[in-house]
Amino acid sequence: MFAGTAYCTALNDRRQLEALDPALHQPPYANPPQAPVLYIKSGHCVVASGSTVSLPDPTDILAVGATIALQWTASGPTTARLALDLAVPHESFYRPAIGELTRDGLLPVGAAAPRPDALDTLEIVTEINGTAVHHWNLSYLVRGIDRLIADVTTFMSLLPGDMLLVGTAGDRPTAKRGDHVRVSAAGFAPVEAVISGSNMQAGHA
Amino acid sequence: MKHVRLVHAGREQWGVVADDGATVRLASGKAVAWDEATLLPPVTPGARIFALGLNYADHSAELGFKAPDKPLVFLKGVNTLVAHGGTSYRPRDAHQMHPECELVAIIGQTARNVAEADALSCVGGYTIACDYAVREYLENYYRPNLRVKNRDALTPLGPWVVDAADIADPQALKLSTTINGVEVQTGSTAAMVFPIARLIAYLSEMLTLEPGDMILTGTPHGVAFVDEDDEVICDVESIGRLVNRVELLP
Repeated sequence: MFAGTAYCTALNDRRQLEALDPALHQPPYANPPQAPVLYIKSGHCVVASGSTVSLPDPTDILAVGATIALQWTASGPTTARLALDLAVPHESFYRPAIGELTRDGLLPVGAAAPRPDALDTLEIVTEINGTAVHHWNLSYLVRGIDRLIADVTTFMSLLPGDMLLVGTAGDRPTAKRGDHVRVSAAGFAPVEAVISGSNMQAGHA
Repeated sequence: MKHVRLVHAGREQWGVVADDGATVRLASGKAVAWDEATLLPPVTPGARIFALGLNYADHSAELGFKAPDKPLVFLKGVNTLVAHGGTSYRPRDAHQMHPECELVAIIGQTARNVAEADALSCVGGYTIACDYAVREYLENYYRPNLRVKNRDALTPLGPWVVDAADIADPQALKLSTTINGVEVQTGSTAAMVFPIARLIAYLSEMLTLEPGDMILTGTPHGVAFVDEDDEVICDVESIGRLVNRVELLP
């Protein structure tokens, strides 16, 4: 288990937000989001890179959301790591989705290192079974990292040990039982996970 | 017994409230008076904080919602917690901030795929939360969104944890909230849409509950807005009274 809380940003992909715009003016949303859209993954979701992650019972695939997690220390968001934000695929953003987002083991993370100065154009590559299947560039973020931190901290504090995941791609890929997922980006330790169909618990970080 | 978390002599500690209520006995055996200690929210490090929306039908109705067909569960961070006697801050541009008195069930043993009939035995203790909401900041994304429900110090918690063994029936407790002595919320835990045992069974189908995890079980009807210098008291029968003051955010 990881002692902090992981705050994850949704709808921070410019292309995704543009594509969804007509729907976001309709019920149940009524209006596109104003504040950053966040959801929480508890420390029980966090596992070390290399862990085996069990498919939750109601699904045979997981959405694979590669992103950067800013990690707070006593000095603020001074470190960062690659994170693999796994989720049971779901269409609605209306209500909190504990069963889809917050199950144990659904957040493998790589090693934290000092946060690089320039992350604005970082390219994050997702490989499944050795084949690069997705590229996600942080230049697509609606709120870049500095603005995201500023906007989130207007209404809440992140504490040492907490993480802020800056956002995943709207077109993120999926993984199925037996798949080996690997996420990499220049300057970061990779994060890897194996998707298992058994009911074995994922190894906790 | 009533268990408090506090700072005394430069160290975070847990203690037990003496029978006469005048002192707290620390693990060392030392008895300290209330004014020698600073209370902290009685939370276990790393514990998850689950909270319920719309878990009383009369509260759902006053907000214009039908009661949900499955529990509306969201998570909170520890930044939200503040101890008994502490201060919560109303944003200057928001006037619709209201207290929500809630019974909190604290898990006492690992629970995974627990049957509803067995679930209450997984509770180790109970406390009280005042889970403030700021209605101006509601948006329909993972509602209730974090700008409403994850603000610093807007979830007073305490004053203590009462052992589950001391509560005969957690689904038959009166709850009330007063603002400056005026009652603004009243209800009974008997009116929960999903009782505590059902909530534990539901959560334990999805994840492994561990000792210390908390479930804020929702609030009955009564929406009244707070202002600067208000004193807010949430009272849950057999648990205690949780006192909180409101100031404007600097």
